[in-house]
Amino acid sequence: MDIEKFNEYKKLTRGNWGKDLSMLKMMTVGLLNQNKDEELTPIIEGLLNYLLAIPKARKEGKKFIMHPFNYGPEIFYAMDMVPLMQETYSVGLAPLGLNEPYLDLTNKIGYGDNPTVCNAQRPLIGSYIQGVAPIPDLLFFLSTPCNSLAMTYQVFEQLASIPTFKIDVPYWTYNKVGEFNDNKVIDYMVAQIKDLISWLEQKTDQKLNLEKFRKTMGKVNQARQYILEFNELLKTVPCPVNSQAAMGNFLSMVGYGGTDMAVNSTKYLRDTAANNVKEGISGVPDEKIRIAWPYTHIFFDGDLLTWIEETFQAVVIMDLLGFYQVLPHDVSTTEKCYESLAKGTLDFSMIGTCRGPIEYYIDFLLDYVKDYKIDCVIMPMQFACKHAYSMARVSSEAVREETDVPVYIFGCDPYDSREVTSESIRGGISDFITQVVL
Amino acid sequence: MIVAGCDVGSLTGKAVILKNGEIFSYSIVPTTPKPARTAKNAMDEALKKENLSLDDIKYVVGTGYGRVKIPFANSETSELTCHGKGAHSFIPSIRTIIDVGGQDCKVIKVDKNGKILDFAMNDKCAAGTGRFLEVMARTLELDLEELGPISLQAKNQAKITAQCSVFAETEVVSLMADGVEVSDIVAGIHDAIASRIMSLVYRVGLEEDFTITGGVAKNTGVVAYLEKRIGVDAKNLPVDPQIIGALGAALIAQDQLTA
Repeated sequence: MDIEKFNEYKKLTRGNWGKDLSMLKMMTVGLLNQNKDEELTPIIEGLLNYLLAIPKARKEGKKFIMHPFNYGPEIFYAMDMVPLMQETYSVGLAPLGLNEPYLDLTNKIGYGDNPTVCNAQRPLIGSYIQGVAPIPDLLFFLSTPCNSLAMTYQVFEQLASIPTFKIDVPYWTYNKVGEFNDNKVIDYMVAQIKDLISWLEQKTDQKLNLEKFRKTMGKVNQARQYILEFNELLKTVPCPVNSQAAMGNFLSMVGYGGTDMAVNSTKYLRDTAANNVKEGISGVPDEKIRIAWPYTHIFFDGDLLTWIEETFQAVVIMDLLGFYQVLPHDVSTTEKCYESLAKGTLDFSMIGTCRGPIEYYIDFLLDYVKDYKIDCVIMPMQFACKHAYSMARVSSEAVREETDVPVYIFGCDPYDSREVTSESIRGGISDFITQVVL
Repeated sequence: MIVAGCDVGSLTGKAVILKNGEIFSYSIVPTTPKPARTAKNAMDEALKKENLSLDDIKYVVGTGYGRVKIPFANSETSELTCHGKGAHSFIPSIRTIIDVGGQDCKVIKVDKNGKILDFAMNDKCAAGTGRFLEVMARTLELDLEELGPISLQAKNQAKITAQCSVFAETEVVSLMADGVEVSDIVAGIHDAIASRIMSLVYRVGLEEDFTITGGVAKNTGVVAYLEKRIGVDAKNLPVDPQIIGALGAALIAQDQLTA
């Protein structure tokens, strides 16, 4: 990173952010220092600005809204609010080993126990008890992907008396020919999006600027287009980027979708992949194995994918979050913008795969395995993620039967290193790759 | 030619010494906090039985969770491979191996050559493992070895619904308080274990013939309830099923020298 740029960001991290922003500050400083000797990519720059926006919002008196990991924040940006993905905490603190004490605090107040409720959300409860996480002005969540998330958000709501809005993601009918064949679903979602906007207008005391809304949705579309092209480029053998790259798209869309930062980040990834394809450069030298990873990363083991790459010359082509597959939509009118928001909500990473019939998920996985020339599937399954566990079994059977590609399922808690250790996870993966795949 | 395999598991350490391809000696010892010491204890005991010293062993392969910490091992390999190799060496028709160890359970599918095709592991929860049986034996104030035979005397099997060993313990205490026959409770415990193991069996699919290895394979109750759920009898191994991992490691050691 250019030293002047580094110092510029360093300066922004200085000062007292307040106790409730202390962990956020630690994450920001950590991210900056970790990348001091690396290229300042638009992804890292985007993330830094995303984190720095929270203390800035406080100074400027802007409304700060918290939302889950499966919702694009474009409408919040369109309304000049500052969003924060709640799981920034659990994901950001996991590799530092700092989730565990907050999980223990959460256990102490009797809200769930490992691993009965998802630990993507629970550390924040402990953080609130300690006063080291900021109470947002507003809270937003969805009924999908799971009951666990919906339950925990209601705990946040009550714990801190935060005004909250919830969107009900409906179950849907599915056939492979027309994914959005049920117009009732879209209409239902559009109505809820409009209710959300009305609620936000009331809470922020300002009307949605339609011109800004359309511009924001245009930027969302541009980023979606880049991601679509990036996802196509991943079909190339060897894969032009490493196992971590796709996650950059997800972070862009969940963190700052609808902004120039997201457009720049997704364009950067698309350009990098396209250039590497052209030059014959692979993300993992001498790629031998292409892995589908249809679940989240193991957040407490930040080096796991690199270890897989270096040990087995294997590249993880897709993880469930990184494989963002919301298509660009018509945003030529305000009404179409609402529809695009609705469709984006319905097909956001993990919502799209978890909101409906298992057949949709199975088809998604089978198509992926075939189209992306996958050699094996590794499915980490979080103990608390009950529906994902059941999906794993059914979908793994389908993959084995229809593609003959081997599948490895292992239980773990991606946020708590005490449940299944990194050593155990690596041992299982090693056994699978060496004994079954190779 | 004398070679050995050493399997450092979570509850026991095992060593098998092969002489000219035949089992010459073996041992099973309790695990100590240090895998290296467990390995040494196991190997010392096996050596002592036939008045051998470590210098007599030409090659040692380590396996089990503590395999990387066996100081005298020439190489190490995964227990999946070892259980596959060990079981297949006795019964070549074996296609599925259910290894029920002290703290984990594995279902391993192999091809006609003993090569692993697929596997599933339960690597966290104690339910469906030897530890679960230990906890239950303690709760019922029985010896571990008594559990299997007692379970087969059941007339009206109790229902243990909890999958978790902690909750199952509470359930067992309640059943005892309700005056349910011990044999019926023990039968329920064994069926609960079988049910847990079946979830792994379903994951990879069971192909006949199948056998059961690991310490829990010596429990006649677990074997019977598992066979009942699967609907097929397991093939019996002609040696102690607890040493199959170490035996597989020893066979790999032999292959290393003859390759």
